This record gives sequence, C-alpha cells and structure tokens, in this order.
Amino acid sequence: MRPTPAAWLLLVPGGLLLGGLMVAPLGLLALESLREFVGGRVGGQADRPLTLANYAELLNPAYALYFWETFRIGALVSLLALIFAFPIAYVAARTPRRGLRKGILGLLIAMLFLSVVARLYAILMAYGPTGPLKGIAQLFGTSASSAAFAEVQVMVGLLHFVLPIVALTLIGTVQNINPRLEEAAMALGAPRWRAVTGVVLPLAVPGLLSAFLIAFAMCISNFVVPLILGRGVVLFVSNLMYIRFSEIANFPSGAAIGIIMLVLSFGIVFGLTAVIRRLWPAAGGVR
Amino acid sequence: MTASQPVVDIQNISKRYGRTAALDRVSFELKRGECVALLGPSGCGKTTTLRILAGFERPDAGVVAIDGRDMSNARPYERNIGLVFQDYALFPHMTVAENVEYGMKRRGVPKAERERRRREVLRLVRLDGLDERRPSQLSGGQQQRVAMARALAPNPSVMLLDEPLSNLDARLRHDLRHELREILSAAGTTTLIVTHDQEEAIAMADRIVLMNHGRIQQIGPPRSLYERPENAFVASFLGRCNWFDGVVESALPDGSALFRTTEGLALRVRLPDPRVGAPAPSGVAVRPERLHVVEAGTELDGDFNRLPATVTRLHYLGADLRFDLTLPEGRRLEAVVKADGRPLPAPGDTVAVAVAPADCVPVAGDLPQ
Ligand SMILES: Nc1ncnc2c1ncn2[C@@H]1O[C@H](COP(=O)(O)OP(=O)(O)OP(=O)(O)O)[C@@H](O)[C@H]1O
Ligand SMILES: [Mg+2]
Repeated sequence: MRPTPAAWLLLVPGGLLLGGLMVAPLGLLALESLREFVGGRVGGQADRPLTLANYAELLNPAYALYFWETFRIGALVSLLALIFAFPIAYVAARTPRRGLRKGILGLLIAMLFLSVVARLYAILMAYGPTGPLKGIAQLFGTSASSAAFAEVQVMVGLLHFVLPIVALTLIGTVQNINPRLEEAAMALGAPRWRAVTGVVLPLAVPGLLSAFLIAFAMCISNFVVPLILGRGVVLFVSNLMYIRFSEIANFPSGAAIGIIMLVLSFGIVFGLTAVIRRLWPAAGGVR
Repeated sequence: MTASQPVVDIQNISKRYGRTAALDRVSFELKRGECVALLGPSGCGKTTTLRILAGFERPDAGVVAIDGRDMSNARPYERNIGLVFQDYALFPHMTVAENVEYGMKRRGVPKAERERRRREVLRLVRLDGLDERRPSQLSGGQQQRVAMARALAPNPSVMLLDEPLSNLDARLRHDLRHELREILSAAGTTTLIVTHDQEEAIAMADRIVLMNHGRIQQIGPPRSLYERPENAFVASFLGRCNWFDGVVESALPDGSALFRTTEGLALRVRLPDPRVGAPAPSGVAVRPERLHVVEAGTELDGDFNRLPATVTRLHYLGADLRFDLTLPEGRRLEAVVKADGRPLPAPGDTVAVAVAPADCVPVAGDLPQ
C-alpha cells in the first residue's frame, strides 16, 4: 500500500526531532572535523580553509589501534552475550513454570536498573588488584594488575551491561518461534538439544543478528566501562574522543574520530546483515 | 508380541491443571491397524490425552503402554510415534524433502534408504515433484500431506493426529477426509485422530472414543454410538435427537418397555440396559430420521407408537425435508424425511408421527443444554 499524502504529514514531528537533534549537530560535527586545529586554542579555525589533516592523522597505527581494539572487544563481547543469553532466553520463553519465567525476567530487568557505575566498581573491588577475588586472574595465567586482565575485566563489565538487553531481545525471538516445531522434531526422534540446535537456532538467526547488533552498538560506543575497568590500559574510541574534546580541546580531531566511527559502524551493520541474509536466506525470509 | 495385543494401551490416566480435572481415569486401547477418533466438545481433554500419549505431558496417574512396553516415563523421542499437528508445524527452513527425511535422519537411516522411503511416502500422499519446495510455497492441503508424509516416513508404531483437517476450508476438508483415511489404510498404521467434528469422526474412524469433561462417555464403532447411545450426552452430541424425559414403567410381553413421559404420554420403547448397576434411564432419545410423518388417519403396517402432532414449520433441504412439529402436550419434535415428491403438509396441519419402539432408545443422564 502506498502512503497517502496525508500520511506523509505523520512523519513531520519525527522528522523535525531527528533533523533538529541528530542531523544538524552531526552536520556541524562533520564540518568541524574538516577544520584546522591550532594547539592551545579551543576548537577549530573557522576562518581558515578546510582540510583533511584530521583524518590523515588517524591513519597513524597508534590511532588505528584504538579502533581495532574497540571493534575487536565489542564483537567478542557481543558474541559471548549471545552465547550466555540464548539459553536464559530459551528457558524463560519455554518453561511451563510461571514462577521461573517471572524470576528470570525480574532478574534481567533488575540488572538493567542497577547503576552501571555501581556494577563496575563492584567488579573492580571484587576482582581488581586489591580485591578478595584477585586470584581469579591466576586462572587466566596472569595477575590481577596485568594489562591482559584489564581487558578481561572490561569484557566482563561490558557483558554485564549488554547481557540483560540481549537476553530480553532473545526472549521475544524465541517466543515468536512456534513451540510445536520443537515438539514435532522431538516426536520425530530428536532429543531436546537437537530440536533446539536444528530447528530453533536456525529460525532465530534474524533475532540473533539484531541482538548481536544491539550489543555491538552498545559495546563500541561505551565509555564508562573502559574508563573504570580499563585502568588506562584498555581505552575505547569513545575515551580517545573524550580526551580530544575535553582535555586538549582539539575539537576537529575529536569530530573526525566521531565521523569515522559512525561510518565504520554503519558499514559493519549493513555488511554483517547482508552476509547473514546470504548465508541463511530461508531463516531471514521467514516472519 | 501377539497379534491381538493392543498397540496403544492407556489405563486410568488422570491429569489435573490446578483445579480443573483435564482427564479423569481415562482408559482405552488402539488395536493394530485400527483408526480411532477421540471425539468431544472443546475443552474435554482430547489434546491433553494426545500430548500424554506423545510424552509431552506426564499423567498424574495411570499407565501408557505402546507396543506392550510401559512408556509412562519415556521421552517423546523414545516413543516411536508419528505426530501431525493442527497447524502442521512443518520446519519452515527446510525443504519438503528435508522435512520428510528428518525423522529417518534422527534414527540413523542411511541416505539411500532415506531417499527411497521419502519418494515412497510422498507418492503415498500424492505429492510428487515438490521435494525442493519450502513449506511456505505450498497450499494448506499440500502442507497437510507433507505433515502426514513426515510423520509416516519413519514407520511409527502409532500415528497421532490433532485436528488434522481443521485448518482447511470446508470443501477441502470434506475431500481430504476420505483421502486421509485411504492413506492411513494403505500405510497400515494404527491411528488416533483427535477431532471435535462428529462427521469427521464418523466418516474416518473404525471406533470412536467419545469424551466429555475429561471422562470417557462411550467407546464403540460409530454406528453403535449413534444407534445405541449409552447416555444423554452421547445421544445429543452425535447427530441430532429428540428427547422425551420420563421413566421406564415396566417391561412388556412383546420385548419392549413401557415409558411414561413427564407429561404422561405413554411410549413403547426399547428395553433398557439390563445389566445390574446400569444407571436408570432418565429419558428416551429418538433420531429425527426415525420419525415418520403421515397424514392423520393413515393406516400403518407394522408396530409403531403413534402420536398426533401439528406442523409448525417445514424446511425444504433438497434431498430431505425437515419438519418442526408440536405435540398436543407442547413438546417440540424434529423429523427428517426423504423428499420423495408426495404432497406436503402445510404449517398448521395436523399429522401423525409414527415411531417404532426399537427406535426409541432409553438413556441415562441429563441432556446437556
Ligand atoms: N497447560 C494447561 N494449563 C492449564 N489448563 C490446561 C492446560 N492445558 C489444558 N488445560 C485445561 O484442560 C482441559 C482440557 O484441555 P484440552 O486442551 O485437552 O481440551 P481439548 O479437548 O483439546 O479442547 P479443544 O477441542 O478446544 O482443543 C481444559 O479445561 C483446559 O482449559
Ligand atoms: Mg485441542
């Protein structure tokens, strides 16, 4: 059905909001990223010709590394989140016991409400170099104050942050899959695990993909987790941006980082979606 | 395993959900090659019975045996059953061929044998050449056949069908009824069909298990349920019936019994169940097609109860005529007669209604409203 001209009017409030709050500031950001920066002065030089120098600077491996680390840790955490959250979501969606379902939902929502900062300091106090559980680091073959363990801690912190949202998203995904399909598979001789891996998982691919992308977006834009748990060893692009903007007032460089991040994220979202749709055409096509 | 041993033997299963007793001491068996319909109104426990048989629910009490082995605690995948769901539950991400081979794959049947059997069952359900389609590319009727083929392929001990035709339109449902029956006979499987459609049950089943409120009301071939209902529920659920409430007064020398309706009308009826402990009849059920409508004063050959009645309405149904009649005592009756071209009485005319004592069946229990 084609929207009528009147229907387009409905887009006006949302459009204004999006234009005013997103497009205009982003446009200004893009403009700022093309300005020249002179050390010691706040922001870019509006009266000088535009330049790509701020972008060229980011090709330096020292900077590229920030991007790589951010995306690598973000992808890993998002994948871990799917692995941990799927069983939780499956049980919550399929259990005949209402108490269990409510308990899981309550726990996930409580996790969402708990302040991230409080959770992160809790992790730091428990597993950090001075915490009572610092011995855990030895299981990873390292010490609690090492750089490698800082990374593990950042991952745990991010996992805490995204797990409830991924699990809640996946509950909806599983609920949308007809439970008769698993029963049909079981009646045909498949144990429950086979029914889940052979029938539920392939049909859940679109939902898993969205959950992954949500988690990924939340991870790579994260600021507070590396700030608190990274102990200066693990820094994300957001932290780099913050330093640019607030500590040395290099607005053009910060803006360039922001724009690159935006472009890379879009690229990953669309690229990944296209790949998954190609690999699972059937799963992507249903619903 | 002897030939006479039932394939499925359900003994005294009960199941409660909170305060509702979904099943109350249900027992029945399926003999080899037999097609049994589990029939009853909505909420009577049909699906629950099927799910207990399939192993998706545990009964609170009672035993389920399949092929002589106690399966009460076996998991669904250990039971060797073929299940067809109301919505078919075909795997949407697999082709028809993959759907049909799924069960054999799980049982470790080698590839060549799987493909041979797949072609065989798809031919049996008359669905050749669609192997590479996905379920979403099939019509409802075709999906139904794939669901049958998928369940039949691994040679299950028993086929369980839950309302297999209820998702199809009336015409197709009617056609598929017989075809489904033929497929099942050709495959030689033992089958339990759950349905709330009495016509479907009568057309397809060798025997009917009729349930109400979690209890079995009567088990028997369709004809015996229809002609010799054991209680008022059976009489009224299967087909239409006229109902006279009253009491059986005495046995008569000619082998019938004397029945007195609550308004005092005397009827000669079939002898009630003579078994000791059989509940006393509370009424008499008469099928509309067993009533004869004749002109007042006509002589009749044979042994009939004869009641004067007034025609209130006449429905012309093509092959049949349906009369709505009122007795002088105010009781309403319904009669169905063949439309054979005779002149028809008009509403308001007085006629005679004749019914043979053998067609007046005394039954116990209350007539459900
Ligand atoms: N999971 C459940 N929880 C609570 N009550 C249930 C559950 N399943 C069934 N019941 C109840 O048990 C009774 C029997 O249900 P069942 O589904 O077996 O009926 P049915 O004969 O299949 O009905 P229909 O023809 O409507 O499918 C009903 O009263 C129903 O409400
Ligand atoms: Mg049902």
